[in-house]
Amino acid sequence: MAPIMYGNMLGGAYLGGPVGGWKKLASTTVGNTPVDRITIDDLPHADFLKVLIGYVGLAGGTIRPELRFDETDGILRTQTHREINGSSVESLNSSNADMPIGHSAGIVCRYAFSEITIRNIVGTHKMCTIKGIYGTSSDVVATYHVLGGGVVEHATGPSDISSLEFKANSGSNDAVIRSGSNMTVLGMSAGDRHTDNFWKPLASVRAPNNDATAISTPVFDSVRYLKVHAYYNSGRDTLLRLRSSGNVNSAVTFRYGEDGTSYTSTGIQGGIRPYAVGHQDRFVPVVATMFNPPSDRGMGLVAATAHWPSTNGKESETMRYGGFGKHSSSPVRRMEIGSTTFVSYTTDAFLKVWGGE
Amino acid sequence: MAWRRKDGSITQVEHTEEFTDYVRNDIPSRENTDFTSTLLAYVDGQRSSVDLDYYIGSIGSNHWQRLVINGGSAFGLPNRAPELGKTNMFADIEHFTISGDRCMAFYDAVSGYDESNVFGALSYYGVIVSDARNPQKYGLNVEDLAGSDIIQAEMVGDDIDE
Repeated sequence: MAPIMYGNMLGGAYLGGPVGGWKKLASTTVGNTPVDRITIDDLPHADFLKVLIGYVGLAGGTIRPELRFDETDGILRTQTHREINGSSVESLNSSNADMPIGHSAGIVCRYAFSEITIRNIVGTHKMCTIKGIYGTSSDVVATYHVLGGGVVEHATGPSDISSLEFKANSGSNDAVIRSGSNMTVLGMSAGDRHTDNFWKPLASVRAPNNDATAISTPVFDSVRYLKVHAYYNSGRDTLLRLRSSGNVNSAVTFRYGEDGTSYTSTGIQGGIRPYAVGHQDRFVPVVATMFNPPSDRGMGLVAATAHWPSTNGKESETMRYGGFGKHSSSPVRRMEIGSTTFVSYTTDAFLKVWGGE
Repeated sequence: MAWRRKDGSITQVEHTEEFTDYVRNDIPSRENTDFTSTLLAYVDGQRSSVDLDYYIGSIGSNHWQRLVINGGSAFGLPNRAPELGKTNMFADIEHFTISGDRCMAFYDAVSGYDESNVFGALSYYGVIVSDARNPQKYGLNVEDLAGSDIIQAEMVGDDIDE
């Protein structure tokens, strides 16, 4: 079997040339009637799949999120290795197994976002990486981050993935997946040449001068999913702020970092804090994917690294994932790099946002 | 290995033994913060010991520039399960240029194994940062540490030049 590596521009249309990036294959959004699962059938083939799951639930509700790769009469078995808030979790099931993509014991969860990337090999073993973030209630910070990966085996023999099903598995009240929840499946294949990449450019801004105190995007269209790349070199405690329209909104944030510590901030300075407080950073690159529901919350899976000088100039801290922005009434339509204290950014700092619906 | 360029042409290279130094050269050295890629790598190792490494480097050096993760050493994706049976590996890599003089990549990866119905997975994630100034190449290194079983490699990527 061959090793394969596909590379694609994130937003080919942005640069007007390359094509072949992630393309939307299917999407389902929950309407006014709550459901117990989101199912997508008849998926067209793609060598790789990316599944974005935005969950809107009940305040105080408990879910055990799972993903089934094909509804089949045969036997599935799954194995995942996950870290939940930094602690290793393994799950082995031998029959009819749905893949756990969150906390198997259940999470008190109001909002959640998962990003799963799958190698859709036509064979018995499907491999995937899993990322997730979970918010506990309408106003409270997220308390769980899930990172990991897994393998799904079709014991009945090789087959392509043709359906995906997300289940909340509350155990007591199945109809917990509420209005605004969404599952979107993207695909990428070798030789695929198209011009309608899922991720469309929304904003790309740099610090306006070498003494800029913030890097702000203009107001962009509201879309369900956001992708962010950012870079800055501040040496200070800096936030990636999430805002709706031109208004300043209160925000609640959560961060789960290399040091295993969470941070919460509220008020107008709230946002995602991409690295540990107190480190004197040389530079901080950030990549994030976000669920931006049409109601009032934004949840982000954030990876960032902060670097600070050492004897060899190479020390760094890797921030794992996490961020949760609460907004008063509307989805994220602006982002900003800023600080709670005075910071000046140089013109090499940038903030780029893509969106997908 | 094959790279798909913007003009649609593909360069294909096949090896019959160990793979090393699968390189995409000519990353623009000028400032180019629009260099962003989503990279997906999959390996079916067929054997117990397979490495999948992802590199960022500079043309002109004898080998790859040292990469840094968490202050550590030269680095690839640490997907290796030497005591296990058949090993598969999969990685989702997001790569971009920062400030025109550094490249970095965030990765999520998993390795799976299946031997005598012992079925398992290990997962990895992290950040790779090039300490090379003006990095001009990046690439994939796939290596069968047992030395014999990987017989094909394919690497497909869009040309990242504007």
